[in-house]
Amino acid sequence: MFDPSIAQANSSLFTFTFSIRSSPHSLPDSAQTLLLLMSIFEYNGSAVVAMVGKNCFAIASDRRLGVQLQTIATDFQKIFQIHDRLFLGLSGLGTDMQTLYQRLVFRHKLYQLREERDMKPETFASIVSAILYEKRFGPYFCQPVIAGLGDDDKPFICTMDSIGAKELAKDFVVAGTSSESLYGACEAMFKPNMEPEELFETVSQALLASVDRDCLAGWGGHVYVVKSSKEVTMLGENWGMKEKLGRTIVAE
Amino acid sequence: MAERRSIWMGCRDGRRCMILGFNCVVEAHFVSMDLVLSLSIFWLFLMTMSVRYVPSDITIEVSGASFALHKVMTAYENLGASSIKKWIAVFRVSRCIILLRLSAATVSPRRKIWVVFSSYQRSTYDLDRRNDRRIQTKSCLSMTGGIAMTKQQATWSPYDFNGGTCVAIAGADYCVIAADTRMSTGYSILTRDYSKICKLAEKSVLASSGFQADVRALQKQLAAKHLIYQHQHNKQMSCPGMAQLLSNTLYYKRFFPYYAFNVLGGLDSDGKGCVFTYDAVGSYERVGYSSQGSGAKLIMPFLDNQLKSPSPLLLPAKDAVTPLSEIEAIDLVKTAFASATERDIYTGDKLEILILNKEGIRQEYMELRKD
Repeated sequence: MFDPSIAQANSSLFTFTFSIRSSPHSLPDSAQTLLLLMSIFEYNGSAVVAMVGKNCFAIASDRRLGVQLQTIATDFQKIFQIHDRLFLGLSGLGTDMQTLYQRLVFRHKLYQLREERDMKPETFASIVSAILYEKRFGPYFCQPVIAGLGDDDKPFICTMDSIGAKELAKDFVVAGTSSESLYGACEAMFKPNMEPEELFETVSQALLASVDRDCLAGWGGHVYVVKSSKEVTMLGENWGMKEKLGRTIVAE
Repeated sequence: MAERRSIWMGCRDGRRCMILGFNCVVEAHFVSMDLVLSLSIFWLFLMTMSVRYVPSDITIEVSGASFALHKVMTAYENLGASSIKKWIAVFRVSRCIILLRLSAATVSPRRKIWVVFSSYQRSTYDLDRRNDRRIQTKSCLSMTGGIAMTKQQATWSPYDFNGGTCVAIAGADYCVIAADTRMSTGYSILTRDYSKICKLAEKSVLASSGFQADVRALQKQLAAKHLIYQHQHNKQMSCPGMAQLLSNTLYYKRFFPYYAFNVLGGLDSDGKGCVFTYDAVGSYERVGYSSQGSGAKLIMPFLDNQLKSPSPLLLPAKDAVTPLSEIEAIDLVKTAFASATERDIYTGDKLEILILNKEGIRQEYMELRKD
């Protein structure tokens, strides 16, 4: 997908830089930190995946928040609930994740007040896409993953790039720094029409296997599986690096 | 930051001349068919400038071959505060640029020189420029790289990337080595039927992806060395021995590497499966399974999930050889490749699998997606 932050001007410039300074501006002692030129999308590190099952969907993310190579938090929330049947997972820069979530929740609340109902996932995806495209030339450095249940309990998943190009998929969508590993793992493990329990296992294993090969994402995962009956939402949390799955079932 | 103003000289698209002011950065762009003409225009321009607007900071971007740049650098003089000296320095630099053009073997018809000069004093604190609270600065002149070629430059690389993925899995008494048979370059396919696997010894098989010319050369080297070994020792080289040989061969070319990402599979002297995984310069490790190539990032997590039975955190370190049976391992490899083919454009067409066990070597093929 198009990544505007790394778009390079098409120049055939070969530059050799040589600098003569008569009074070198010395770095202060505090600048002992390692300066790494990473892409802005890899600054915090993230992995988000959503998968479709039989009248249910699962959305999962890792839990790490880092500043380049240092881990700051191991319980950072990347998946947000918009309403009972709609979840939004965000990958990319942490601050943009949170700002975007706040803006979208605001829009959804206004929608609820005006229309007196919840937003459909397709509509929500369009809103997210529009909000991202508003900032076409100064984008939010985020890749959202939207997962929800439509009117007839049909699961809906989609992802988009940082400027709002939607990608609707029928099986699974991935985003984040581990996206390549996630593609491989999900492609190999996905089966159509999985029941919620099996879907939970599949998504967890795919996520854990993929983030284990990525140093910027990991430290466990949050997995949400939403069934069509709307009565039970399964919330699973994988703690630490050992693959113990502690599951709590929350009834709504 | 000072405001930037642009002056386009000798440009066929149009000219804009801006009045120079104090505290501004001026960029003069030359896009001209003829370098000498543009420089002479540049000269006239400079000469008309009043002494009051002498820039304290001049940056000339010159790109090109380093020998040309060297000429430019030798003309540079450390400047004092005197404006006259600055002009002299600029003159010398421009003269070298002219010499650049004359000495360059190929003259590109369109060249651009960026001359950036600013007349605001560079200070460590960018405070209000009107008040004289500037910290004392030294005039610094930095020269940065080159002439921007607007035509395509000939950049030749000795390497190419032919794509492909290789996987190997070690079992208790077998070893499975697999690779796809697609060879590509850029976005095109060169052939759908190219084998990346090479049988080096009776119990050692090498699968490599990357640049196939280098892979072929590497295979020839290893085969030659193996032949000598057989003559000297009257036996085939063992798999761990071949692994070490491959590592040394790769490191021999540390500063002009073989662009080959290798996986060596075979049976060791006890008959157990062994897989060795390499990077391009010979760093290797004995593992229970591995994948290399364009689809490696897609396949590796899946293999980790299916095969990584002992955790690396456990002590004593357990053997990483998989307890799966041969048939199961082959199925796993086929599944992994089918998934990788879906998402990786360089993997596909056909899958070639070699299975080594005590009976010998056997080959299997599987069709993959051709798109």
